Amino acid sequence: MKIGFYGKLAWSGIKKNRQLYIPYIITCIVMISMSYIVSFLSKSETIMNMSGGDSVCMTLGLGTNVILIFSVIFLFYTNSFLMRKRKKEFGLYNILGMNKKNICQILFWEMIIYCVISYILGMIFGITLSKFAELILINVVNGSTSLEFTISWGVICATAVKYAVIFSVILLCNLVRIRFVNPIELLRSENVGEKPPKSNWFLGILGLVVLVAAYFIAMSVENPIDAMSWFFVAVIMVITATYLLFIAGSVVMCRAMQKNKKYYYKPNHFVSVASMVYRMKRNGAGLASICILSTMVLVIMSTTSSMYYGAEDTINKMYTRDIAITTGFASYEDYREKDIGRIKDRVNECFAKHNVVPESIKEQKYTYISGIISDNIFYGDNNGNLYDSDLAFSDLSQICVISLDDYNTVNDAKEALGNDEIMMYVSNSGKQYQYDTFEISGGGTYKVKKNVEELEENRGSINTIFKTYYIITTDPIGLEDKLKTAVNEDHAVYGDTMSWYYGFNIDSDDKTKNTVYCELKEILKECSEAMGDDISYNSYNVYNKEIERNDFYGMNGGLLFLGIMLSIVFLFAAVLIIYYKQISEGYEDRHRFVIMKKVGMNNREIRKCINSQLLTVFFLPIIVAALHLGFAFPMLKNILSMIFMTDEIVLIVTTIGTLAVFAVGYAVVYYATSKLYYGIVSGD
Amino acid sequence: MSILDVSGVKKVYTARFGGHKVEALKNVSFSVEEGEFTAIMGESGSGKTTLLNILAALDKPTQGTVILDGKNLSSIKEKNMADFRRDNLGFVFQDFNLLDTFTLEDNIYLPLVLAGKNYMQMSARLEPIADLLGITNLLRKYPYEVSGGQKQRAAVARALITEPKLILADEPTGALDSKAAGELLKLFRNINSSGRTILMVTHSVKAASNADRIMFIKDGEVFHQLYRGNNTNEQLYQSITDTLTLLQSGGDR
Repeated sequence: MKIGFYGKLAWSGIKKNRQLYIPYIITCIVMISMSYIVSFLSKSETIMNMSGGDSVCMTLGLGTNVILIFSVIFLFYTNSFLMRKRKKEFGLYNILGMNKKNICQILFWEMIIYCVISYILGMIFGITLSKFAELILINVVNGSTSLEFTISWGVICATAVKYAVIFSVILLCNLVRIRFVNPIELLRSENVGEKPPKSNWFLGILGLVVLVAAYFIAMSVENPIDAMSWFFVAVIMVITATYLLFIAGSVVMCRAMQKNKKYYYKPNHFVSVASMVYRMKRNGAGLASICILSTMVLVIMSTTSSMYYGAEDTINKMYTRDIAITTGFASYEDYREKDIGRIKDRVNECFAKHNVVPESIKEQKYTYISGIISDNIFYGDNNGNLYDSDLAFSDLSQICVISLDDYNTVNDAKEALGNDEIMMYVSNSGKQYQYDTFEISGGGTYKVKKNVEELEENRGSINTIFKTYYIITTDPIGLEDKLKTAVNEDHAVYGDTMSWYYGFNIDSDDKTKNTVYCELKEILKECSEAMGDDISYNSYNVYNKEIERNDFYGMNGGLLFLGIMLSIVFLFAAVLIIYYKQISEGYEDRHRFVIMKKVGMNNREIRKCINSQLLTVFFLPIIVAALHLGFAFPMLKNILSMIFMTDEIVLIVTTIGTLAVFAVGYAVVYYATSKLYYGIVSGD
Repeated sequence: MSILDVSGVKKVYTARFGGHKVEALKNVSFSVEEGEFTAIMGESGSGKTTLLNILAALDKPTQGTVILDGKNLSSIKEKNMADFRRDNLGFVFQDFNLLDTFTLEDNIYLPLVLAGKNYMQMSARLEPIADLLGITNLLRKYPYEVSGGQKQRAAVARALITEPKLILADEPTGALDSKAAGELLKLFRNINSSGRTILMVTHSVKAASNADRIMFIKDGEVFHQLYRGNNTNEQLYQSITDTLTLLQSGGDR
């Protein structure tokens, strides 16, 4: 009987506050259904079995956690807002003779009610949309679709448990909060006359300084390694600065405007500036959150979509041939023509068997050695200074040694070099080698005979991170030896093995390519086993561009998909913050505008004033977000180049595209909420 | 010369559904001379507030005319109404109606800023008014930092600063303690003696006894008027009390 009574009170409480609860429940529904969809997909058999499915599932698995963490933060935030609005009601109950325990019972039932509603609806939406999302995802990652519809009970239960925990913790916090306040406070909490904030110059200026510093870091990043290591620092700095600027900086700015009497005492500015000061203290945090969320959406969408749309270009850079074989040797000296010859014979047999003609064959030997090149001198790390703290990874360069014979064969050239002469090509700089000589610390000097204008790089990939010097020499063994002596071999960094590369294209369908690829793998395995202990190479690898492409699309498509899902969640969050802000401000401002009307402001002036305030409040965060995105651009570009995405145009286009789509969506929200606000202020 | 002429004003409210009509004002006619301090008294529901709203041009009469300084209020177009109100009328309200986002100074400037005056003009005007009202030292404070009486004095300053033809005061002492109320009424007398016309609606006999003339409204009509003549405040107070007793015991004229 008693339970029924409090249950009823809770239900009527929700109904009476539907203006607050409906958006809250909608957000819960969105979060729960997104959470279900993403974790459902991360465990979906269909996707797992696709080629590249592993990477998709792994990416989505991470996404599940991101959504969960965000849900916790956001639900706490909105809950505190709801509680603030409801305090008065609870205070009244308390004074009318209900004790705190009873109020807790009401809270408990309210929580049960909206949990059940959001959970059931969230699941219904989640399950219905999961198939749809699966189709989109499969389409995005270029997979093949099936039409069976599955429901994962495991995921449903897991999601239920996760959100049950979140909601229980929120409930617990509310109960504790109610326990420790007295009824008068409860009653009064909404209309405590708030002091206009004092301008805090220190925090305001600190915010500005931190922001400028973060922008400076972002702009001065020159290579991917720096970008990676500074990215999170910059992100944290920007977030801090945004909060400081919105909370303290805005007040400082408004105060400065008030000091300027000529500016301040103008009909357009007078009311707006004064009320901005007043509301910034409370809304600064909300606006900053909106700004951060918008920035997150923009960054996520622009990077994931540019990765997705730039994928083809990236794959072509990473894999220059349809199929390629590589074998790794300890050094040039170990290379044995006989072993490689045997492999090549078997490969040719395979071509004949499948009646394919390999095209644009590229066969080349090369060694990569990493070290530091300053001016024209190569240092190893003999002094151990490669690992000094003041020496960043970004100072690393690598040298690729190619023999003149290979160079001439591959490039169809007839260059000739003396013993102490080399040819030079520098990647990743856009500049040619500037010096006439090249010196190896402790290993002699070479004369640079010629700067090679263009060179097809072996691993287009890695060269986007490290600056690579291609050295063409008649004596690769000798050069390799000298370089290795300069480098302390114990500290060998990356790729100081010699490789034999054999790549080719086949003009046939994917199936034939795959057959050839599988057979080549088999051949290499057999050859290596046949040689037993007497084997010159220590590793081998075969790649098929088609398979790599699937993997790549799997990962990038998965990321894009996840990006879209996260953006939806973040956008809902931002919209809800805006909505709550407008409602609560509407009720406060109503009283203010009534006074202004009495004092002699007409409706047109009031509308104009409201408009200018709304515009500022709405578009300030998105303008700042766009600014953040603009300054983040060099960093994003560098980080993306690390995963071999170097097409700047694609990034620019997707960034601007995302911004445009976002601005349109935002304008729609603005229009809807401002109508609501006018309604409240004008008292309808 | 009369500054305000109210003749034959009638106000009928119609319920939204059905034809049920409520007559808030039956037939009100009076005029106020320039420099006069008039009080309007009446019980709740007698039509005081309706009358004040009509005088303030916040509401339109069903019948009759209100002429302020030779201008018929109903002839003023809606879009010019706010300007007219701002330039010709000063308001003092029971609950002060100061904006908590502004300092007292800025609250006082509000109507002038809306009228597009610059800071120099405004501060030149404020100086003597603030001096008269004794709030010069409080100008930098916010409404929540000062007492009720001080708030009301700031509100009076806001009403005075536009140099209006008529000051309308709606229960100005209603939210004040007796000491603050006494001080405010003294200020009203000072303001009045410096030439301002004041029309005050009030419940309080003490407040009304400061006026030159008291009009009693009952059931939507001007029921009776009292003139100060050569009476002191105390004598006037007595006559008002007598009139009110008469009014309440339902006696006819």
